[in-house]
Amino acid sequence: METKGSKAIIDRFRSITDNTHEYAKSLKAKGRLVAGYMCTHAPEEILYAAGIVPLRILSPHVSQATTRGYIHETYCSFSHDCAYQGLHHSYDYLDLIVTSSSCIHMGEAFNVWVRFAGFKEKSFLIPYPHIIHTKPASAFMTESFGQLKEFVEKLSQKAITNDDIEKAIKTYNHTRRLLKRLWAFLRHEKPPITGPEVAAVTLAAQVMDKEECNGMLEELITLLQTEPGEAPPGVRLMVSGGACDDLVVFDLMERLNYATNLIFIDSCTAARYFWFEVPEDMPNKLRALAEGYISKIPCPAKDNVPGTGEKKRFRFIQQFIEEFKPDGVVFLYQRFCSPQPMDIVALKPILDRLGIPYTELELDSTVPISQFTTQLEALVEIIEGVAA
Amino acid sequence: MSDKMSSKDLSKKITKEYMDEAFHAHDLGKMVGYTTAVSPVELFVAHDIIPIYPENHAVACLSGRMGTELSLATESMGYTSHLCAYARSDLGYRKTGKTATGGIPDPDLLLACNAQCFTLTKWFQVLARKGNVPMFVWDTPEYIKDKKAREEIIKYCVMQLREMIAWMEEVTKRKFDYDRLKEVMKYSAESSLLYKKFLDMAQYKPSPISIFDALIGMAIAVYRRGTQECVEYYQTLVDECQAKVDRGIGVLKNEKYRLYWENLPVWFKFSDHAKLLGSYGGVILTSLYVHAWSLEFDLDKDPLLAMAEQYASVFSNSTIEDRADMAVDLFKRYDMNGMIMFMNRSCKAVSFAVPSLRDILVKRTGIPALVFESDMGDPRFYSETQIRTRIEAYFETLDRLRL
Repeated sequence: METKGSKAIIDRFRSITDNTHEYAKSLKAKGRLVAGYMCTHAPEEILYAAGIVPLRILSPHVSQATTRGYIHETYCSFSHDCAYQGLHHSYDYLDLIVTSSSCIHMGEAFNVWVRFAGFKEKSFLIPYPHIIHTKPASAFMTESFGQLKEFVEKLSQKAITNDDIEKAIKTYNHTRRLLKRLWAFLRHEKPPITGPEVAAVTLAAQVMDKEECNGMLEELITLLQTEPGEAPPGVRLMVSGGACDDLVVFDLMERLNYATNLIFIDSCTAARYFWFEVPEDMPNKLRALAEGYISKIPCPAKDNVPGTGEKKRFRFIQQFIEEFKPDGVVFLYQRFCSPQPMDIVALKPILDRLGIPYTELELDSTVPISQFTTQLEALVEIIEGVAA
Repeated sequence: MSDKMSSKDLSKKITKEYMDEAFHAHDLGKMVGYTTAVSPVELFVAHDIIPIYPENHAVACLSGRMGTELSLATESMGYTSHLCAYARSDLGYRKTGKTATGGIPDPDLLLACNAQCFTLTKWFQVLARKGNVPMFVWDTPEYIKDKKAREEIIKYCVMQLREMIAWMEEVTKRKFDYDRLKEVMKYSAESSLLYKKFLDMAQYKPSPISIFDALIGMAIAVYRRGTQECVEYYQTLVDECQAKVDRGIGVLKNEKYRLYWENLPVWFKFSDHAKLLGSYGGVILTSLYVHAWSLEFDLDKDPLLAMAEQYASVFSNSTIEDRADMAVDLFKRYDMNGMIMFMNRSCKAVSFAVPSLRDILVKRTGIPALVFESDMGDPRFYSETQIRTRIEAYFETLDRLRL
């Protein structure tokens, strides 16, 4: 039976997430250049300003051993999976890959693509500060973005004007605002959309042409505003952690033997992707981009408030807790990641003070459904016990 | 008989005086600053802040085979066993108070430099939060192979060093003395060159030093860089090695295989590895790791610029191409004929792209490589039989190639 209304649009987003290559190849067939990126600290706007569609490299979630000869096994599965995509030639249609120097795991995945997957001549590593909330970092990022702009101009054989960048900034900011509005539905008592659906839409936004994405988002939000909520009120779960593009995990969170709702995801594949804006109408466009990307909720690998051991991301997490009111938190991170679990040790006392129970799920290439189900149901039982 | 102290005694004396001063820093009106092994420590020294290296203390504990005990203590606090063994050792020491030495004094301030890795920054953040101690991160973006990008990286690093000086002035309530920095830089430059000369003794046949000597010898370069006694120590060490060279004394009487080592050592297998390799006529001469302190400061430049150039381009912050060039240079200069590449589960930064590096080095040198996996500090991840078998098989391969 054909789905209608908001569900039809959500299905379309989910289909794009599940069939990224088909979607990207359709863009190529229309004559568009497509660039892959491996870290959300890469300024997509510069690529978009040149008419290139940026597309996030995601993992195939296939258990494989191919990459073990290229990357040490103690690098996270996300980096192995992304490296595998290069070695498997799944993304050979890309015109370019870029990444910002982010965590060492994704740096290694990028290295595999450059060295072993034929992308040496069509790759760009953006020099990027690891500690981003400082004045020198802003100047450095502005210069780095200028280098990326030059590289892209050569590749696309097109001069990127200030107007091009401004237009891209506005298009991307629009996406960010729309995604924020979409996530805001999950704050409702009976939201007209589920957490896993919002996660799927957000993931699709990371591989889509933003103009098309914005059109679909606008239509979806308009429809959702008129639709009554259907989701039953259950235990409200918030996810905090690292990259997770496996929607199975989020689906699972709403398919337990208890009524549960996924109401927020603090990760670079969800809220951290869009929870910021780039200042508009600034004379220096590259500077504007630097300021915007500095204002992002930082990845734990980049999060350091100068002069202290304080974490900027923790403030956001507390803000999300206040706004979305979770009953429990699921720490979800890639096995072998160092920054995430180190931060989690510091986050736990904060949640203890707030009286919010939590559990930890370690991600690998494939999702251990039974194990995760047991852990999640145990969390819900703790929450219900706490509530009683 | 000369009354000049041997390098061994000098090292003991310098270390004792240094630690005594550190433990009594507050009585002396000084502060203790934790820092990372590759960092612009010259700024601390010039500002009379006593630098303490939790990594060095961790090495002592791991070499003393305390890795598992301290790691378990750290893991009981919620940290993962995948974390760097130095961090696990240090956090375990802080929880249990157990140490292979007299321990280290608590910090008044923290300086983390991420040219080595980003785990150090996270580890120091834990210490900063725990002790409510001010912290500065000197951020060194990857030193990519592009002239323009490198200029910007160095500019960015210098800007941060100026901020760091302002931060130190604020924390200590004392004005920074640039003339004193120049003096410290002079000592640092001189001792670093002597340290390099010491490492380069491995070029002689038979080699008077092995990497195990280098690993012991590098300690003073790490924690006393920028002082006069550091210069004296390395001059003594170089003189002693030269005397061995003059008399034809090598580590092994029958030196057959001159080996390159990739990565940090397996600290708790330090002497076992030396003996095992020695039984096959093999001596490990060097690694990029020990050369991380072979710094060549240009004293004609602004000291901040000279430091930024040296520390940002350290091997662990360099591209694979640069790492390969550095290693190939060592292969040529030391005439090495074997290589052991350790995939260190504990150190992702130094294990970065080791398979790529192996391919490049094998191709460029024509020498086969032995690759093995383990942990630099935690015996739970060391498979004795498997590694011994692989080493034996590797020497059999080298023997066949010689025939």
